[in-house]
Amino acid sequence: MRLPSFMQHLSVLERSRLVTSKKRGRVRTYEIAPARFKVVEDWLADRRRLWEARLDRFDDYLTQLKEQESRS
Amino acid sequence: MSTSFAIDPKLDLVLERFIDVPRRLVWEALTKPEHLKEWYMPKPWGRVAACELDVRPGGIFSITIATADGQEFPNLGCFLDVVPMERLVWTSMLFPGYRPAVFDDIPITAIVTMETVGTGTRYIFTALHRDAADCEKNKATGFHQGTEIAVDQFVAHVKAMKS
Repeated sequence: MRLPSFMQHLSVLERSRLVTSKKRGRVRTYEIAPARFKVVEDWLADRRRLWEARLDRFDDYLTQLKEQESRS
Repeated sequence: MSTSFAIDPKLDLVLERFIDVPRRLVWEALTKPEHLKEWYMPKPWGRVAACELDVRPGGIFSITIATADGQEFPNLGCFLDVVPMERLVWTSMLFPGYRPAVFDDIPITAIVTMETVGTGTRYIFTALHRDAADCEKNKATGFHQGTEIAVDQFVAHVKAMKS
C-alpha cells in the first residue's frame, strides 16, 4: 500500500473514532481507541443474542413440525 | 453469485447448528410465511403482523413486526441467491427487484446454508454487517433499550409459566 492510500485508510478510521492521532512536529502518531471498539463488540453481542434466541425458536418449531409429520 | 464471502469477526455473526430434522422441513420453515410467523418473534415481545416471501433472486423479502404496544416495524429486502434446500441469501440493502433501498435501520445481508448430516440437518446462519459507524447509530436509536425490555418481558413470562 502506498502512503497516500494508507493515510486515507487512517483518516476513515479516525473519522469513525476507532483511532486517535496526535501530531508532534513532522510526526503524526496514531493510537487505537479501545472504547470505540467496545461499542462494536457490545452491538455485535446483542445481535448474536437476538439471532441465537431466534434460531432457538426456529429449532423448537422444526421439532414440532417433525413430530406433527410423524404422527400424521 | 459466488458462494464465497469474507467474514469479519468484529462485525459479522456466524451461527452453526445441527438439528435432527430433515432438510426439507428446515427449508420450509425458513421460506414459508405461515411457518416463519411461528418462530420469528418472541411471543411476549410481539408478533409478525405481515410476511411476504417471494423466494427467488430479486423477489420480495418482507417481514412486518408488531410490538406488544401495537407499533409496527417493517423490514423490507430482497432475495439475492436461492438454491432450494441448500442456500438462501437475502439483504435489506436492496428493495425487491434489486432496487437500491431507502432505510433507516442497519442493513444486513443474511446467508443461510444447509446440508444433510445423517437423519438431520446442519445449517449455518451468517449475518454480514456494514461498519462500525452503523453500530454506533444503532445504539443511539434505542436498539439496546429495546432489547433489554424484551429480555425483561421474557424473564417475567418464564417466571409466570413456572408458578
